[in-house]
Formats: sequence, C-alpha cells, structure tokens
Amino acid sequence: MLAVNLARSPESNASDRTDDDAAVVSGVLAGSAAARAALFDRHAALVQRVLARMLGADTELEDLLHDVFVEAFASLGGLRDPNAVRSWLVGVAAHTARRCIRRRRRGRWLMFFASEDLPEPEVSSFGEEAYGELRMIHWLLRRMGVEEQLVFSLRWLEGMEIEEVARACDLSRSTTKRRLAAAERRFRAMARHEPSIERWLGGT
Amino acid sequence: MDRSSQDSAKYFASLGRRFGAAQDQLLQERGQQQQQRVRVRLLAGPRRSSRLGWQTLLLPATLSLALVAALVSFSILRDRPVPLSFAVGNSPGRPGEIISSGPELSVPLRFSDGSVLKLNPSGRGRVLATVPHGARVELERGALEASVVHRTNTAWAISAGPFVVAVTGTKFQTEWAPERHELKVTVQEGAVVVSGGMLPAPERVSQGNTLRVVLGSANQGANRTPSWRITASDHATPDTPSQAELAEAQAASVKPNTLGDSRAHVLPAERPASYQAVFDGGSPTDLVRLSETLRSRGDSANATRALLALRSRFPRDPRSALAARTLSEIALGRHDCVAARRWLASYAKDSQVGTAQSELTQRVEHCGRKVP
Repeated sequence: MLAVNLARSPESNASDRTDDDAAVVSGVLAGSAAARAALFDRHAALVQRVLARMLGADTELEDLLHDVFVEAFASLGGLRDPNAVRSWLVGVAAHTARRCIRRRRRGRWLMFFASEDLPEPEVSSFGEEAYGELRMIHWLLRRMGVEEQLVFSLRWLEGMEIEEVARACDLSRSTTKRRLAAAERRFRAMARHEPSIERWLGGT
Repeated sequence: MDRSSQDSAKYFASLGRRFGAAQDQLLQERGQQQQQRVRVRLLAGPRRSSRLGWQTLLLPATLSLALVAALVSFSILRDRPVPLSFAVGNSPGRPGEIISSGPELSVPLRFSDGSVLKLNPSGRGRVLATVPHGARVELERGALEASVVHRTNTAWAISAGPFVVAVTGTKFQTEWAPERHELKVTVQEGAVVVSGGMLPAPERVSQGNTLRVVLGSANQGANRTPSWRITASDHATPDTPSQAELAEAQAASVKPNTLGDSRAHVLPAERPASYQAVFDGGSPTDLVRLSETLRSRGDSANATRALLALRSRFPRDPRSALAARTLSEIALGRHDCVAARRWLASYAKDSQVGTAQSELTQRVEHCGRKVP
C-alpha cells in the first residue's frame, strides 16, 4: 500500500496536549462553563475545517459547528478515553454532516433551492477561480452516496488515514476502503467531464 | 484514461492538497468570525437542538398550504351546486314566466344540463323553479315532450293539474287536458313515477308504456274518483274515454285486480313464495311495488304486510308515510274504521302535511256512520 503523506493542519499535531484534553473533558463533565469554553477553543477550528471538507463552504456551516458542540457537550459522558476527544469530535462532526446531508436529500423536493446551492456571500480576497473549483468539487461529491461522500472527503480532502476515517464514520476498515474505492472511481468518472478541474490541478 | 493505483493516489493527494489549501484560505477569512459567533451562542445562549426549524420550512409549508387551499377552493367552486339555466327558443328563460305555444308551433326549452323539453302546439306552462339537478315544470295544458339527461340525484318533476310526474332521466311525453281532467304520460325511454291526483299510490310507468288517468267529472267535487290504466304505447287508449271505459275504470278502482295483465309488466314479484323474501330483504321500492301488485290482485292481507314491513324497516323513508296512507285506505276497504283513522293519523304525523282537504280524510270521517 502506498503511503501518502498529506499536509495536516496544526491541530492534528497537538497530541502533546492530550493530557490537557483529559482535564478539559473532566471539567466539562463536572459542569464547568470554563471547561466547555476551553474544549470549544481547542477544537472549534478542527471541527469547522472537517465540516467544511465534507460539506464545502456551506451556508449552514456555522449552525453545524454549533450543533456538533451541542451534541458533544450532551454526550461527552459516553467518551471512554478522554484523551481521544479530538478524534471523537471528528466522529461527531461526521455524524452531524451525515445527518445534514440525508436531511437535505430527503427534503430536497420541498425546497425551491437546496440550501447548499444557495449563493455564497461575497469573497473579498479569495481567488474567484479557486472558489469556483471548490464548489465544483463539492458539486461532484454531492452526486455520490452519503457514505462515499464522507469517506472521500475525510480521506482525500482532510487527509486522514483509512483507520481514522473508519473510526470517524463508524465503519469497518474494509467497508471504508471499499467505499473509498467506489468514491474514487465515481469522482474520476465525473471529473473527466469537467476539464476545469484538471486544469486547476495543473495536469496532475 | 487508466491510471495505476499509485497514480490514482497521487492524483487524489494532489487534489486534496490544492483543495485543502484553497479552503483553508477561505476559512481563514471567515472562520474566526464564525467560531466567535458560535462560541457566544454556545456558551451564553440556550442550546438549540435542531437547525431545521420552522423558518426553514416556512416558505414551502406556506406555499403547500396555499396550493391545497387553492385546490380545495377550486374543487368546491367547481362542484358548487348551481341551479340549471334554460332558454325558451333562443331567449333566456326565467322561472315563473308563462310559456305558450301557438296553434301550429312548438316551443323548445333547452336546459343547461342538456335536457330538452318541447311544449307542443297550443300548450301552456312554465318553469316554476330550477335546482342544480333538475327543474319543476308546470304544464297547464297541452302536451310536453321531455328528454331529460340522466344524472345522479336527478330531480325533475312535471306538474300537470293535480298530478306530478317525477323523472329520473328519460324521454317521455306528458299531456294534460284540464277540461277533461285527463292526464296521459307516454314513456319512450326510462321510467317515470306519477303521483297525486288522488291516485292511491304512485304509479311507475316504464319504457314503451302509457299511463292514462281520467278523473271523475268536475261536478263530482271532492268525491272524484280517478280511473287509470297503463297500457303498451302501441295500444294506447283513445283520447276520449268511452262511458264503458270509464265504468270499467271505476270498477277497477274498487277491484284493482281487473287491471290484470295490462299492469303486470310494470309490477314485480309474481310468486307468493317470494313475498317473504321481499318483506325481509327488499328495498323500499321493492316493497312499494309488491304492495301495489298485491293490491291490484285483491290480496290486501299481503299488501298490508308489505307496507308494514316498509314502515318497520324504513321508518325514515318518505314512502313510509305514504304507506300509512295506503294502509288507511286498505283498512277502509275492509270497513275497519278504527284502523283507518289510526293509519290516517300516522300519515298526517309522519308526512307533516296534516289531513285537511283530503278526500281520504272525508272517507275516513264518514266511515261507520249510518247514511241518513
């Protein structure tokens, strides 16, 4: 198996702070408002980024971020290893994203516009072309099954290892690999008809 | 284009790096503000359990309700009962207006449901009222040809003198000669029911038959006795009844079985063995017809049983009240004055019309009194 090194954000290298995470979790479970604030401050950027990877620059991203932490505070008592709160929060984010996607697909016939298709706010300094390609990639992802979309996003857009993806999506490793392979085939098939993506990737 | 798994991994890794870098730049611009807002909501405000609140569904829900309301309104408006309109010749007709036809020309009345009435030459009548499923037409004199479109709940009625011809979709001709007190109804298609005119019970006239009713002479006043017969149209009786016919009809009103075969084709239940089945399971119409058949054969006992079955099994049916009236007449026939009065009282109560101005009332009142 080819090992692919992916760039990770700073939070992913914060394993030295797991002891602090355990203390924060204890504080939250004890009802400390300060501990809740600390948990949010430590992991909000990670959760926000993971949600963005799965759903794109979504109009509901802020609400979803809120929901993830509401869910986390409510069910933190079920966390077996307080030091694993980071990956646990990624799992809660994946679960929240999955629920959001399914809800939208169920209710799509009710809406004039799917909420993910609503116009985004103006982006001041962000390159228009790159922004368009981000939307195009997520448009392609939304043509996949829900699980394929999540697995693909976490593996290739967020850069998580297979085991991490499997844990976040609550799937077995083999199922995760199978769905990832299916998602890759589908993405390539769709991207073949979108030359702008190939151009954007510089012919890779 | 085929790629090896290595190329594929490189391709997606490259995609992920480009995508991650671009999206991180975007998040850097907006992410901090979003996080700050969420932090404030999360730590200071009440928890929200769901974002799919009423606001999200407000527009589609409102539109759905509006659509449903529009459909319901359209359905109600479409099905709203609107009285029939009609035209007399080429002019719009108005209920209550007298319509007369000349000595040589007939006048057509076309109704909005497709029904057509034709007032034959030298006729006079008027449309008394229209309802959504029919009309009430008064024929003062002459002949009226009717072609009524059959629909559910059709409510057409032709009044001719003291008679009423009820129609449920048929083609027929009604002729009323007031000077002779004679009604003639010829049915080409379907069936009609003729009542009133002191007929003892409503008479059903079916396709191919003619009902001819002649009241006694006018100077007989309230004691006029109707004579009637139903014949096949091909053998319709002459316009003017002979004295012999009148005498025969008078006799028939006393001994209805003398009408015999001429009525048999409009009356059901020929076998006595089937009576009980009709008593127990027949419809109001079946019971009325059976009672008429039995009365025409002089079998008053079974006719009474049929009418009693009608009253006990269908007490709310309008024919139940009429059954009481017929029972009163049958009781009169066997000189059972007490029963006749009781049934007449039941009829007055059930039909809520009272007993005034009724020939039957007079007969019941005089029942049992010695003639001076």
